[in-house]
Amino acid sequence: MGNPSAPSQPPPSTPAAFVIANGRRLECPLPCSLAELLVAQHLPPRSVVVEHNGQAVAPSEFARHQVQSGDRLEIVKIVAGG
Amino acid sequence: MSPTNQPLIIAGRSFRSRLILGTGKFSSPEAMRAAAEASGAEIVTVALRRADLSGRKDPFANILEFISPEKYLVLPNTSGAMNADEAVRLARLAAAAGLPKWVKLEIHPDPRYLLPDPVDTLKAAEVLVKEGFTVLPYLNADPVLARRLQDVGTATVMPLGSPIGSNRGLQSRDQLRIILEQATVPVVVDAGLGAPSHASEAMELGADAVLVNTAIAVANDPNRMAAAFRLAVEAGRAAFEAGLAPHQDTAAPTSPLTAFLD
Repeated sequence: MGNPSAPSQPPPSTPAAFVIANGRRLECPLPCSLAELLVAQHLPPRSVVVEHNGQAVAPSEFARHQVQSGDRLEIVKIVAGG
Repeated sequence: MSPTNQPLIIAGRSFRSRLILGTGKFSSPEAMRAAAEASGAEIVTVALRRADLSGRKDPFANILEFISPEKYLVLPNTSGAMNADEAVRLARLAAAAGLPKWVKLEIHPDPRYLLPDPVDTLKAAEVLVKEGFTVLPYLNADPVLARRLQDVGTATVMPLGSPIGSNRGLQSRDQLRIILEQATVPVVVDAGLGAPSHASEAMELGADAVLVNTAIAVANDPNRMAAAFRLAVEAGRAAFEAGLAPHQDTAAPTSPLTAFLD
């Protein structure tokens, strides 16, 4: 017997879309392109290289690669080193 | 010093400088750029690391702004890789970034001594050579491994003088001599060269090139140290090409041994 004045239950929440970026869960609006994801993370696309589900992706391909929920990304920079 | 030393040839590419410079440990990217200039190096190594996703500003944000791929052959290393699989992935990432398809193959899982893993280095070398990479493997001064790496088609071998950053010079010299005798690819002595005299010694033994990072980066005056290493490498190579006098157990007089006043 429901109480008409009881507050209604919130709708079941949709699980947040996420990728695994550099070993950590990163929530982000998906789907989107790699380029869009990098910009959203304040990473100039030209400054990084990305491995997307085990495949190295050149910066020229970032706009063409679509990221889906659960994808694994390694976002890597060229840095100083011997 | 007159530039009459023979050029260094790696994978069909010719270089005047036999000093390869590592870019780590400098106080700033500007210091690194200036030292590279002073060293006369034409090949400069870089590394790859996971980008910081926290939004913090990264001081070494874009090293290629300081080391131009137009001016230098930018050689990515796979330092940080714990095994062959990671090294191969890093090499592919570097190539995807647009760097020349050369790689300094460096796998050292133990952080205390940073000694290169011979088994995974050989495994990764084989894979990367097949994928068309010019592979420059970093190895302990193991003559047998050096031959195995040559046999799978690496462009050089890069045996260590002593552990990375230890500055202890050619502790491996006895093994290096064997490698130098047997090598059919250029030998680049890499790691532990703490002073220009160490670099000279390597070149006098017959090394084709040396790689130096720490000794230059941590010097009080990295530009002067870079220039000193440049001279040392040139001197050592000139001595080698000129023909060093042999060691002997006994003395050999330089002045006549006839009676002085008869």
